[in-house]
Order: sequence, then structure tokens, then C-alpha cells
Amino acid sequence: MKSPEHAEIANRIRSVFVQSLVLNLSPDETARISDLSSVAGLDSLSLLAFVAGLETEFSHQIEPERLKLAFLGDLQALTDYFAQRVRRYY
Amino acid sequence: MNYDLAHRDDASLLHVAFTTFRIGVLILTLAKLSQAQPASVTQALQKTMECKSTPAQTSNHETRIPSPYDRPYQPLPWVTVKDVLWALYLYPGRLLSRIPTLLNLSLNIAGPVVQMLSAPRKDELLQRFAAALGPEKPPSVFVDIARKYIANDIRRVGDDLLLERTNANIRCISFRGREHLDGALADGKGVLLVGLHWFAERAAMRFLTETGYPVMSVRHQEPPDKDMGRLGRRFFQPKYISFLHNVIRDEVFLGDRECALKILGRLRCGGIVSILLDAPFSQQLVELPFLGQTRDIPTGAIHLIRISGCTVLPMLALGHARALKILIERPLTFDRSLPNEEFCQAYLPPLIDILESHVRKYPDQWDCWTKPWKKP
Repeated sequence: MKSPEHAEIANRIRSVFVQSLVLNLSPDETARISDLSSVAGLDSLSLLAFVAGLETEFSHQIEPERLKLAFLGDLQALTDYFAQRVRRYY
Repeated sequence: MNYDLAHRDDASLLHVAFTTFRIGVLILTLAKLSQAQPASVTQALQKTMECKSTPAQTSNHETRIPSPYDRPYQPLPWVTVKDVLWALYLYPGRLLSRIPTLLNLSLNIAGPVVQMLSAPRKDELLQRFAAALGPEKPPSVFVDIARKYIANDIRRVGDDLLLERTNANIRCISFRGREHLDGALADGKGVLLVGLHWFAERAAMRFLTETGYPVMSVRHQEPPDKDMGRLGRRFFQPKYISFLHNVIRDEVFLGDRECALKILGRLRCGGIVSILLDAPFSQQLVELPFLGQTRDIPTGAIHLIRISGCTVLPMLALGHARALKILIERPLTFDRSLPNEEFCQAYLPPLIDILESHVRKYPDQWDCWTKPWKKP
């Protein structure tokens, strides 16, 4: 991770992800998630719940062109994306 | 330009004719094989088919949604009557559709024959009508609805052949509620057309697209067919999938992992998406009363409505491609601040009630009377 801010955003994304998919994971296991798209059970509707969760968490609507599994499954890309958006507010 | 199109039509005609011939030879050969093969050869062929189909299944990353039409595994016959009908529909039928007069004539001839052969199906229909629409009505009413239902089914088969062509020449005789669609599009939040499997659904979507309202349809990629043999599953189903793609064109498949994201993306761009709520293909289903029985209703659409903030318009398509009627109702209102589960409980039943009232009003136009009502 690039900075403590990035690490915090990545943790928030992981936490939203675990809640959206109703995964029964301990905090340690949650912190070890690196590739979101490879998690079993990530189907069309749970992706939708994940998007809704992210948008609520970061109070930002994801642009239509970014609504793709390749982007939403990439933790690094998501972290960079929300880090930029969060920074704009401060 | 015109010359090019005519030339291309001739070439595709020749191609279709040649393929028809090849398929005919293949059917005959396989029919002979299935009758005369020693058991060991049949098993060897079966293994070859299974081996060939495995890589395709594993390489496909899309999730297969369990179908309510799925049956426990049992060896399929090589060729069934349904396979032969599929072959006839996909090859000579498509040839016939090049000459609309001939197609109409064929449908008119086929109509009474199909009505006569559909006696068992009509019995099933009469039972369903009586259970759903009220047993107090005289049986003659249901007999009439069943006759119209079969006629509309035949008509839809012909419509698909017409819709496959670029110039489908759809004739809409009534389009009510266009102002609701225009108003919803002007809001720019995207429009979700919710409806059921009407016989005229595909013609309506195509008409809307051709008149400046491009609609993305959500559908199941592999149309299930319990009467298919191995030949049908192997050759005609893929052909039928590509045929349906030419009919529907702008589509997203339920088995696609990105299905909901694609729909959300289209809605957020201010586009139109059509969802049919009577198809129980989803990872998340709820049981709701529908036409006097219980039916599995997918909840994906209601989650989309909450998340996307789109305008929701109930829609009804009646008639057929040559005499189409479209009715779009007023936009529905939602309190999107409700949590997911509560939102679903609060708004899915009323939405289903609206759609159910459409079926009660136009029972002969709804395609799903003979489909299973609940997953096994």
C-alpha cells in the first residue's frame, strides 16, 4: 500500500465486501483478502450489493463505465479510485 | 447499397439451403445410428460427446443458474421429434420467412393442425385457467382462451422468424403511455420496463428500439427444453441461441456474472432496460402468490430499482408483429431509503399484483401458462 490513508481505504473496501457477500470471516481473514474477484460466491447480485455498499461507505456514485468485474474485483484499483475521490473532499 | 443487400440475401439463402441439406443428412444418419448401433458403439459415441462438451463448460466463466426445468440426469435419446421440429424451424422455416406471404400461408395451414395436436396441452391449460381465473366461469370461456393461447403461440413462432430479419416491418396499431416513457427518459435516471413473458414481448422491444427507444433485454441464454435429444442439444440449441440473438439483439444474459452491473450501467447512462419478472432464473427468489398459486419471483430487479434510482414503468405488449399493441403505465413511486429486505417486502408484492392484473385481463397473451409454477 502506498500510504496509511490507502491502507485504511483498502480495509474499508474489504469490510464492505465481506458484509455484501455475507461472508463469515474473522478480521484477520478479512485483512488477508487481496483479490476480490476470486472469492467464491461472487455472483451478479452480490456484485450489485458490493457496489451499493461501496457507494454508501464512500458517499460517491461509481461512474457507469467503471461498473465492470475487472475494476470492482481489483482491490488496488478500487483503493486508488476511492483514495482520489476521498482526497477531493478534504 | 441495395444491390449489396440483395446479393448478400442470395448468398445467405444458398448458405441456409446448403446447411438444411447437411442437417437433414446428419439427422437421418444419427437416427439410423441410434436404432442400429450396438451398445458399445453407442456408449463410445456418448463418451466422445461428453468429452467434447466438457472443455466448453469449464472454460465458460459464467455462472450457470439452476433452471426449474432441470431434470435429474438421464441419458438422452440421440434424436427426438422436437429435434426434427427444431431443424425444420431453424432451416426451412427461416427460408420461408424470406417470403412473408408464404410464411403467413404456412402458419395459416399449420394453425388448425397444431390446435388439433395440442389437445393434451389444452387440458393442462384449462386446469390452470380454472385455478387461476376462477372456477365459477363457464368452461366454454376457458376453452376459447386456450384456443386463442395456442393461436398466439403459433403466431409468435412466426414473429420470431420475421424479427430475425433486419427489416422486420413491425406494425404497431396502438402505443399508449408513450408520454410516461418520454417523461422518464427526460429525468435521465434510466428506465426499467417491468413486465411478463407476453407473446408480443420481442416484437414490442424491437418496435421500441426501431422508434428511437433502444431497450436492453435481460434473458436466459440457454432456452431450456426438456424434450430435446442429444442432436438438438448439440447442434440446434446453439443455433437457436444465435437465432434468438438476431431476434432480440440488445441483450444481457442472466448467467453473466456482470449481468446486474451491465443493467446498472445502462440505467445510469439514462438508458432503457426490460426485465420480465415471471422467469424464475435467479440466485435469489422469493415465493409470492400469483394467479391463485405460489410462484418463485426473482428479487434482482427490486434490488436494482433501489440501488439505481431509476424510473419503473410496468409494461404490457399485446398482439403480434403485424398488429402490435403496447401499453406503458404510469411510473411507480418508491421510498429508496428503506433497507434492502424491507424495500423488497414493501414493493415486490404490489408490483407483482399489477402484473398479475394484466394476466387476468389478457390471459391468452401470457406465454407462461404451461411453464412449471415452482422449482422442484
